[in-house]
Amino acid sequence: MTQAIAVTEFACPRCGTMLALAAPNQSHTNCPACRWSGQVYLFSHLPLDVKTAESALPEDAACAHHPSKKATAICAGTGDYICSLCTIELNGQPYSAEYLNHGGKETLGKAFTRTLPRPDSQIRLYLVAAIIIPYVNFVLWIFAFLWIPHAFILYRRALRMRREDKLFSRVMSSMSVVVLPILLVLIAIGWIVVVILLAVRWSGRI
Amino acid sequence: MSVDLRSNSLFSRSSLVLLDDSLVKLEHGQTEDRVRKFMFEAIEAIITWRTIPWLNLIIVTTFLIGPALILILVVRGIIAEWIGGSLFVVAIPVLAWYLYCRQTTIRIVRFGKADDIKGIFRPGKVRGLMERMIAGIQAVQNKPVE
Repeated sequence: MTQAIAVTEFACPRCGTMLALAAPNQSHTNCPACRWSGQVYLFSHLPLDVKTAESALPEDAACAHHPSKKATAICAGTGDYICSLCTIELNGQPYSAEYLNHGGKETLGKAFTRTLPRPDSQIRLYLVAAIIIPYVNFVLWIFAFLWIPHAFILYRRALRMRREDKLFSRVMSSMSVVVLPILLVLIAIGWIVVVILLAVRWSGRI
Repeated sequence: MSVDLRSNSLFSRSSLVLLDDSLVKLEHGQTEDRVRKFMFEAIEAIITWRTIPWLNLIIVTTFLIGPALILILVVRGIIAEWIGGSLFVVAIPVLAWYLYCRQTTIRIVRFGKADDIKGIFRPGKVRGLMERMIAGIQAVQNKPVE
C-alpha cells in the first residue's frame, strides 16, 4: 500500500526561509524573517512512483542511452533497447525519452496536446470583427456567405464538445449557447435583406 | 456551472476550473486554450497571499486620474471639467476595486516545484474556491491507495 507523505514545512514565498505552521489547523502564517503573511495549507501528498533501473550483466541487453543499465523494453519509435529510466508509456506503447525529445513529439503530437480547442471563441472572434472592428467589418459583411456557414459549423462543434467534454462544458457558458446563434441568425438575416434590396435596386435600373 | 475563477489582465486572460480530482488552469487564446492540470494527489502545499497591484494602480492613475486632473486644474472650462469629472467617476471605482481585491497569488507546490496563479480576484470567490479545493484535495489524498 502506498504511504502518503505528510508535508510539515514550506518555503516562505518572499525570502525562502523554511517555515512550519504554528498549529495544524491554523492556516494564517507570518514569516518572522521578512514579515510576509498569507494563508498556508499543507497536505499529505502521494509519493511519485519512480522506477529504478537494474544494472546490466554482461549477457543482458543494455540500454542504448544508459549502457550500464539493463534494457527492459524496445522503443516503439526508434527500435532501440531502453531501460526503465528511459521508458515512457504512451497509448500502451513504450517510447524512449530521447525519441520523444527529438522529433517523436511531433509524431505523437496528440498524446502531448495540452490545449483545448475553442470553437466558441472563434465564433466570438468572427462576431467582434464583423460588428466592431472598422474596415474589417465591411470586408466581412461582403463575405458573410462564407464565414456565417463556417460559424454555424463551429457552433455545432462547440455544442458537441459541450456534451462530450466535461472541462469544455464548464468553460462555454449557457449564455454563449443562447446568444451566439441569435447573433449569427440576425447577421445572416441582415445580410440576406441587404442582398435582396441591392438586387431589387439593381434590377430596377436595368 | 461555469468556471470558478476568471482573471483578465492586460496581457492575458485565464480561468480556473475545479474538477473532481484536479484543478485546471486555462490560459485563453483566440482559438484554443492552453491547459495546465494540477492533480490533487500530488499537491504538497497551497500558499495564498495578497499584494497591492501597483502596476494596475499606476496605469489607472496615468490614463484616467492624470488626464482628469489636467482637464480640471489646467485646461478648465465647462466641457473640460465635465470630461475630467467623467474620467474621475470612472477611475475611482476602478481604483477602489483594485484596492479591495488586491492581487491574489495562489501558489501550488507539487514535488517541491511551485506554480503561481496570479490575478485580481474577488476575495469571496477565492475563499470559496479554496474551501472547495482543500476539501477535494483531502478527499483524494485520504482515499486508501493500493
